[in-house]
Amino acid sequence: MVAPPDVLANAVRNVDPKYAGNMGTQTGYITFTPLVANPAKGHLVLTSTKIEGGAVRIHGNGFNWSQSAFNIPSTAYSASGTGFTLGSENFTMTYGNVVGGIAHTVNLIERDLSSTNGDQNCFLAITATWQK
Amino acid sequence: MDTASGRWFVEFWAMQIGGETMRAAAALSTSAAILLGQAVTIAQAQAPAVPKFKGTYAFLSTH
Repeated sequence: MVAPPDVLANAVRNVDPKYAGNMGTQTGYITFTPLVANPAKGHLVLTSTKIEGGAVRIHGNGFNWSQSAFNIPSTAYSASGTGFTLGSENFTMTYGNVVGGIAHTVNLIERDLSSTNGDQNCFLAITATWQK
Repeated sequence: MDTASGRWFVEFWAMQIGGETMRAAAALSTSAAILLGQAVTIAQAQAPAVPKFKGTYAFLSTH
């Protein structure tokens, strides 16, 4: 008699998530104040609402989803033709809708390596449109 | 100086210096041409190589 195959021999018996991952979204306003001497640089202020949480939640692991205010006080920025630096973060940038030398649309992306929430595999993408 | 020689000198000089100087040189060339009674056409400015941002922008981000 042939023994039945051990169908559980290669089954997953335990999952130990090391990094829960982080995903979320934000919306709000950014106000740019360029330098007079070098208008490619300046300071910005950001106010927003953020919704975020763990991308992987298994048996209560990871972290809860939440909604909160997220604001950045006056912080130095600088732009090049293809990049945008905010504090210590470096974005790849595209822009358009240039009116009077001012770009009214900007798109920014970066790998987010700054967080301590276990989201080293995270990216950050921002699209901003001039309001006033 | 006649119109032709003035324009050639200004354009050659501007190509070596760069954008801001080129615009100044173009304005100078325009003034010279007007003084000489020449009709001129100024090309429309192109988007800046380095963008500027000013004022308030609404944004959406995903991470």
